[in-house]
Parts: sequence; C-alpha cells; structure tokens
Amino acid sequence: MEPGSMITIDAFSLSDAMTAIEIGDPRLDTGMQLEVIKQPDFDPLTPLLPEEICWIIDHSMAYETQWHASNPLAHTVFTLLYAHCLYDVDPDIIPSSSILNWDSSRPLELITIVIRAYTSALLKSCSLAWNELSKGTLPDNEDWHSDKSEVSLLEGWPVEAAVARLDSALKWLSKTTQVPPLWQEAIKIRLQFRRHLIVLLSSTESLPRNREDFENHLHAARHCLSIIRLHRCESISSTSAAHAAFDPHIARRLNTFLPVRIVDIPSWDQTCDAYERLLNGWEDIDRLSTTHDISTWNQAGFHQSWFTAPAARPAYIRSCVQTLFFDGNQIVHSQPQGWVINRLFEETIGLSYNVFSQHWGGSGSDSLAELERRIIHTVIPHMRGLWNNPPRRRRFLVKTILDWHMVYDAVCVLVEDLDTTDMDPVTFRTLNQFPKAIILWRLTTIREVILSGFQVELYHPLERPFAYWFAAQVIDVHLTQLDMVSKGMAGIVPQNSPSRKEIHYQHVFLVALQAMCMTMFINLVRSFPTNTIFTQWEQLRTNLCRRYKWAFNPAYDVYEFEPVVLEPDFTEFLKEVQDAQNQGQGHDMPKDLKKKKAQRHSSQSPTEYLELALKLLQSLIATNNTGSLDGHWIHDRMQLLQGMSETCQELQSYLSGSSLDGDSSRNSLLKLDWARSFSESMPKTPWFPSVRRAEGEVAPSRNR
Amino acid sequence: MSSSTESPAIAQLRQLLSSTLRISVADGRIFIGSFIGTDQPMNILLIDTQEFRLDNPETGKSNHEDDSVRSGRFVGQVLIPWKIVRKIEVQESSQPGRRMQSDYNGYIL
Repeated sequence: MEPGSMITIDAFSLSDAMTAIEIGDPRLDTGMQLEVIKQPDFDPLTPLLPEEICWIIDHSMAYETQWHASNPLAHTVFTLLYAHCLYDVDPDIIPSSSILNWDSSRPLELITIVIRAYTSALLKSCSLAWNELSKGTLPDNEDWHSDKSEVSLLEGWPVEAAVARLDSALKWLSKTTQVPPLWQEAIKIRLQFRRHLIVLLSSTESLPRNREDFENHLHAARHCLSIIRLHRCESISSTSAAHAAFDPHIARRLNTFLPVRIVDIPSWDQTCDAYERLLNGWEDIDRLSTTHDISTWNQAGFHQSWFTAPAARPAYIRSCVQTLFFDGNQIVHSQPQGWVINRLFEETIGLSYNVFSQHWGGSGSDSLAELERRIIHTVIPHMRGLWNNPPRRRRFLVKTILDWHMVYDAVCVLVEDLDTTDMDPVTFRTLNQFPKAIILWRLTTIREVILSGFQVELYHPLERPFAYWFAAQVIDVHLTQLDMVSKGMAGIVPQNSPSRKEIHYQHVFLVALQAMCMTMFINLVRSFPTNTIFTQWEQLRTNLCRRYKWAFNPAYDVYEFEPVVLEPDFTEFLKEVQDAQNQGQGHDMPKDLKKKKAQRHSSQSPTEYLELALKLLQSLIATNNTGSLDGHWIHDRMQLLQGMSETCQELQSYLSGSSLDGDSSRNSLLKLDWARSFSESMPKTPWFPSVRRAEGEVAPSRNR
Repeated sequence: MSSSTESPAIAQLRQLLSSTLRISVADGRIFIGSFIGTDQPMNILLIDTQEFRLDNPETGKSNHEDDSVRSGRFVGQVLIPWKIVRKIEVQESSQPGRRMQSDYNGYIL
C-alpha cells in the first residue's frame, strides 16, 4: 500500500474515519486502562463486619452528593458495585454454600438484607431525582448528568417497595443479636435517613396535598442528619474486603462515552453539608408552595442567586422550584396561567388588572388576548429562569429585557388606540400609568443584568467603571418611574397598600444602591493612571458594544414605542469620567454638573456618596423596613441590607486608607477583591468587591 | 487504487471488508465489529463495535460483579492502531454459525 492510501468500503471517506474513537488514546478511549490498577476482586456475598457496612453506606452517601453536584452517575453512585448485582444478593436465591460458611461476627444478612435494602433505596432515590431533573428545565451536561450508562435505577419499582425493604432491614437490625448495639444504631440511623430522603423525594410533587407529612419527614431527616454528622464511621483497615465494593474506574466497563474521571470523595462534613443544603432546599420549596404572589417569588429567586454560591444550590432543588412555580399546567399547583397577569399589576402598582381590562371588554376579550399571552410568556419564563445556573440565568434575563418591552409596547398601543373622548381625567391618568408597571419590571431586570456581571466575573477591570455608571443611570430612571406612579397628581398607587410600602422601600434602597455604584465608578476611574479610559477608548468602546449588545438590539426598531432605557450614552459616560478625574486631581467640578447631580443627591465625592448610602441602609434596618415582604422573606431582605451596610463601612475604610495625604505606603494595606468564590461562602454583597487586607502587610494601630 | 494493479495480499484484504472481525488488543480487551477500512500504517476501522473484557489481565480471573460487563458494551465506530493489536480473527460472513479461528496476524503482514 502507498503511504496515505486507504482501503475502505464504498462511500466511506477520510472524514468519516475521523469520527472514530481511537482505541488506546486516553482522551477518547473510555475503556483504556492507563496504569495497572489493583482493584481487589469483588464478590458481593463476601461477609462483612457491621463497621464495614457502615463505611460502605457513608462512602455511597458521599458519592450521591457528588452526583447532585453535577457529576455523572458512572463516576459516583455507580462506583458502588452492589448497584450492579442486586440480584446476586437476593436472599431467596443465594447459593447454599454462602449460607453455610458464615462467620457470626459477619452475618450474611448485613449483605442480603441491609446492603441490599440500602442500595435499592439509594438507586430509587437517584431515580426520583433523575425524573425531576429530566423534565427539561435545567440543561443536561450543564447542571446535571442524565447518562445512566444503561444501568437500572429501579425505575419501574414502586417507592413503597423501597420503603418496605428499608423497613424490613430496620426490623432485622432491631431484632438481631449478631450486630453490636453501637453499630446497630449507627446503621439504623443511616437507613432511617435514607427512608426519609426517599419519601421526601417522592412527595415533593404532591407537596401542597401532604404538607404536614412532608414537614414531618423533613424534620425527622434533619434530626437523623444531625446524629449521623456527629457519629461518622471511622476509616476501615486498608486490607478490608469492603474496599472492593467500590470501583472508581467502573465507567470504563459501562455503556458510556464519558472518559473515566476519578471523583474525589468529599469529607464527611462536606457530605453532611451537602445533605443539609438539600434539606434547606426542601424547606424553601415548602415555603414557596404557599407563596402566592409573584413579587415574593421574584425576590426569593434573586436572593438565592445573590447569597448562595452555585455549588450550594443543588440542581435537583432548583428544578423542583421551577416545576413548583409552573408545572406546565398550573402556577404553584393551584392557579391558572392568567393569574400572573392580575398579580403583576396588583403587586406592582396596587391596581387590579380589571381596572384596565374593563375598557376593552374585560379580561380574556379578543383585544386583550395578545397582551395577556405576552405577559404570561414573559412572567413565567422570567420566574423560572431565576433558578438557572448563574451564567444561564443572566442570559435568560437578557432575553427577557426585550420581552418586557414587547409587553410594554402592547399596553401602550392599547392605551393610545382607546377612545378617550368621554373619559374622565382620573381614569385617563390611571390607564396611562399601567405601562409603568411593566417598565418597573424591565428596569429591575436591566439592573440585575448589569450588576450580575460582577457575580459571574464578566467584566475586565477597565469595564467595571462603566458597569457601575450604567447601573447608576438605570437606577436614576427607575427612581423617576417610581416617583411617577406614587407621587403627585399622576400617582395612582393606593395609600397604605402593600405596593406603596414596597415602592417606598425600593426608593430608599435604590438611592443607596445608586450612591454605592457612583462611589465605585468614581473610585475606579481615579484608580487608573490619568486618561487611561480615554487612551484605550476605541478598544473599550468595542468591548462595551459587544458586552451590552442587548442594548443595541435592532429588534426594538419594529415596536411602535421606544424603550425607556436602552443604549447607554457613551458621551455622557466620558464626560463623567473626565469630571471624576478632575475632581480627583483637585480641580473644581463644573457648576452645571454640580447642579445636575444635586437633583438626585447633594453629595458628590465618593465618601459623601457612601455616607448617604450607609445612612439610608441603616434607616431601613433600624425601622425594619422590608417593603411588602413578610414572614421568612424578611430575613432574606435584611441579610441584603446588612451586607450592603457592612460593605459601605468596608469601602469607607478602604477610601480613607487610600486617600491619606502623601502616605502612599498605606495604599497597599487594603485592596479590593473582585473574585467571586465558587465555594459555599459568599461575599457580603453580590455586586461589590470585598475589601481585604493585602497579604504581608501589618495593619497600622488606630492611634498612630 | 484500481483492483487490477493491487497486489494479491491487498486484494484479499479488500475481500475482508464488511466482514465481522474479532480483534484482541494489548490490554486484554476484545473488540467485535464490522471491518470497514484500513490504511497503510494498518489502523483498523470497525463499526457497530462491541467491547468485551472477559478477564482481569492482572489476576486472570473472571470479573464477577456485572453480567452486563461480561456481555460487553457498545462502543460504535472505533479505530484500532496496529501497534496494540495482538490478534485478529474473522467471522465467515456466508456461514455465520461457524467461526474461523485462524490467526490473521501473519496473513495481513
């Protein structure tokens, strides 16, 4: 044969050959054995000591949490080899030789009854979680791995049978004299925990009907977990036969194309923390199942993404919440889709949708069909999207910015086309305020899109001042819109309504947030060498146009009404950059700019902005003002306010340290930390950097 | 390459196309699939391939844990480099019930 020539069947080309998996290539060949791995031989009927059984259970629990942490089953749960041979440990069919050769300290029932029940229930638990995750709300291979490698998760087996098998094992453990009491209790508490987990997993869908049962199981599961956490099974001897029960390389034998990856087993505390998060998630689901207003849902969605690290939000829980909000048929298990329309207006501006719809023949009329369809198709994805993973959530919010404008445009068109000849001025004014409810939702979404860029560490250092400046601009418009719906002659929000309470909270909160954004903008501009933004503007502008491409979307052109906020004004940005630089160098601020800023705040320097923000945040905390939220949700909002207040104080320390006259040595003592940890701990605020002491520096004493 | 100019060995190799091959490789695995092509360095392309791992190469004992393991797993289209091939056997397509147990190692070379 000539070099480069091939002998192939007809119609087979070189490009077809390129799709083949090369055997022996470690990157492609999942079955390849890279090194000689001394995997001990596994015989499922090998008798084991109770402590070895306990160790196997704990090990498999750790692997289960790793599956919930977006690892494939083949690398986690399926490494437990009993999962592949449940039939071999069935007490009804085991060979008589196994029964005869038994050791009293290693009763065979620990395998045929206990491990069999536990493994079956573990697989069934994964099956129930898999069913929820496979509903399609969270993307496969991104938030979770659906690949079962053709291994059974006991899909067709009833949950009741799994529970009954666990009950039989618990009964045997209670009666047996072959297991020391200490290990009896240790194994029993683990089986009981599994029993509660499987019941919780199976009853999440029917939560509103069996709330009491659900809460009882949740409470009992917490109790079991607290005991398990304290009584971990110590590691077993390195020669123990229990080690053979796990094969981390099992993926190379299963029907999967996933390359083998050894998943590190988390520590016992990390495993218990992961279960704790699952239980906390169920508690949130329990609370949300009785929450019937979309503002609270919206707030809960934002809060969990602001204050919980992605690793601390199991995909299973996020999927359950999305299903709970809308299961394809009803909202929160009881409301029709149209319910969101009335709630949207009722909760935002305190007016019923009927006040609006009666002028077009009432809700459901032909003239309102398109508007109502658009509202439903915007609100439902908006809510569910809040429980996506952070980058996807941000992309989803970007998409809804246009959706909200479509709704706004539809409302404006209806109001404009209405014959208002005989309409009284109050009604006319009221109708004209309805579009503002949509604007408020859209502005909240835009603000979240801009600021969430800090959460996902999206921005280049040079882009950060712009992000804060643009956020402050959007907040400015938001405050104006809030004033328009709540103040003066045109104000329509009823006095003493929850909406008015919320608007008041939003007003104070947004002024504080805006002041913090302006602090960061000015401080960051001054932290660069003079004129850096101007000298690099061409490149920066190109980056910004790409980063904020949603604001330059030509799709807006087809709508009759202009969006309230869209493209950022780059000229205005550069002017303010120049002013910030000049102020930093001791130049006077132009009088017209001072006058303009005084419209919103009297303060201009970063320190004054921070003082204003801190004062407002502390006033909200002192008066316990959490807007329209009540119950458990108050705590969430307070956490946000406290975090922002503490951030203000940290930034004050940072600014006072970095502006000391002539004392440049202190500049390096404190630094801004922009990194967002993907571990379980989160910074105080989602949108601002943490202030950290620079490593290797000694803090100066206060009286220095 | 036209069939009129190719050597008898290549002509015979061409006759094997579409037949079922059983290839044993260095790490003890066996691949059974339809032979669809090869090139000058003797990389062998199989489609509809099943991978089998009958014995544990270290212990020589049969793996007990899994019946599905013993029945093999589907790996689809694979390319097996000549350097790891230990043995190639061909199944006669006209008589699927009988297997030719010849070692084709020397024949192909």
